[in-house]
Amino acid sequence: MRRMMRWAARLYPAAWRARYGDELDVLLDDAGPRWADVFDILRGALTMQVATLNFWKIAAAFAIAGAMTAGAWSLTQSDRYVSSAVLRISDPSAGVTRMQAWLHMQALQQEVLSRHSLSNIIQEQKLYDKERSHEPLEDIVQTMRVRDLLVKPMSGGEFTVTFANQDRAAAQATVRAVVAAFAEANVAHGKLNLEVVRPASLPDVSSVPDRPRVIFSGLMAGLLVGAVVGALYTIARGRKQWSLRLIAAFAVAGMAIGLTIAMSIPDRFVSMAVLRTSETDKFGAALRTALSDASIDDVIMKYELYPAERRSMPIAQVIGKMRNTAIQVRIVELPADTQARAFTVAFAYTDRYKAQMVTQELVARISGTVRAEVLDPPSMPMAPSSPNRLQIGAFGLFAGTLLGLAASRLRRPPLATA
Amino acid sequence: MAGGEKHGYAMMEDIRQFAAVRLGPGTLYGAITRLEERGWIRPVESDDRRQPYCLTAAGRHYLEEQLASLDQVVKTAARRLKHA
Repeated sequence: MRRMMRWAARLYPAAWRARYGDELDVLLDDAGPRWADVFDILRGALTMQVATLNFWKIAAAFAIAGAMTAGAWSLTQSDRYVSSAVLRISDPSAGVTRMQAWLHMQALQQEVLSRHSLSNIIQEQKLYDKERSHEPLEDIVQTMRVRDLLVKPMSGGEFTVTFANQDRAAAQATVRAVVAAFAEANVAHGKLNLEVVRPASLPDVSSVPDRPRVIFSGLMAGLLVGAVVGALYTIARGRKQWSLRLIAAFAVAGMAIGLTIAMSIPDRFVSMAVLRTSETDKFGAALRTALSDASIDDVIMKYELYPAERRSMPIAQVIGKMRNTAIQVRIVELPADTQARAFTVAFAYTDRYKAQMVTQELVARISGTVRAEVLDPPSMPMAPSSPNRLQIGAFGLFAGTLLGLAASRLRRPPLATA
Repeated sequence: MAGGEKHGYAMMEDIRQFAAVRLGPGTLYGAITRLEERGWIRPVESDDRRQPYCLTAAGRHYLEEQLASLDQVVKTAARRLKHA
């Protein structure tokens, strides 16, 4: 117990120990060992630490608390294993372009990632047992689609299919089932070949969550918050090591830079339409035609889109930019017993009128080759979807404040004049 | 310390005898730290490992003020109890 009392006495601040440490040791020898005294010393050490709080102690305490919180959170998250497979779309008679591969994969995904298909996989593979006891299957399918099952394009017409699960064998079995579903859908769509370049892997180590990374993130977040709290505390205590003017100047400058950058980014307006078609097999071809190079080139010229880009880069690149970054076609979930499929078609542009007109044009081009009902006509975007200027400005303010704190801390005191 | 200089253990024992309260080492040294910071006590040079403390003039003055105030409270309470 004597050892515990001495250990507890070491928790006093170093400056305090230097002044009173020896005296306290003698007192502990005289008073004899008592459990109550261990707690009394611990309480005294804590009180003294709080009484001598400073910037570094607060920053360190927040950093440790952040790391511990993040670590505790990561322990509550069960290990998850990620299995992956690589698929390739090819044409036995001729080469396949990246665009053709992408469109074909999109058409296959409509089948494979549909509610019906994923529900079957979930039930066959006995996935999400716990969730299924208290959540509707609709929500579980959505979780699987958004969080756990990912289909990502790679180069050369290849795609990776990954699935994360707490059981590594289940992860592998599910990727196998998804690959089989892709193969089945491909048979129905004919034309292009789908080959398995790399079969579903059996993951050896869990990759989710990445605990060291989570703990490091918690540490850094705690340090940042601790730096701000520590600075505010020492300022409130009237300690003179901070220059409020310097901090305010950096904060204002950070916000000004953030807002300047935010203002220099043009507004982007998104117009969206919703289509429904029962000719799902023809929809892929219709989409392919509407988003072909020739069709997009025609739309760009007709509505005089991207004038600056057309002056500075080849038209093929402008077409690629529009297709990859501005146009989005997504599947809308409908009840399982519905034969029809619904899709959203969206286009983002700096001019909201043109955003709406181009969306209208794309809808017309798709509807031209497939029977589709427009459930929701192209909207007129009233407010820009990006950039979020308030968020950028707030980030600038925060970053400026941190820089100001660092500058205020590191600056040298002015030289005394004679 | 009003009666003379005392080291930590002597203060602990003294308080235990006249007030029937045993102060823990952490509590006692928290009080000693505060009293010294306020200038009411000061360490006395000693060859012993134990560090004695004594009251300063400011400490004595403050103690007298506190005792007078307490004395007033005690007398008032006693008088009112007598007439109740």
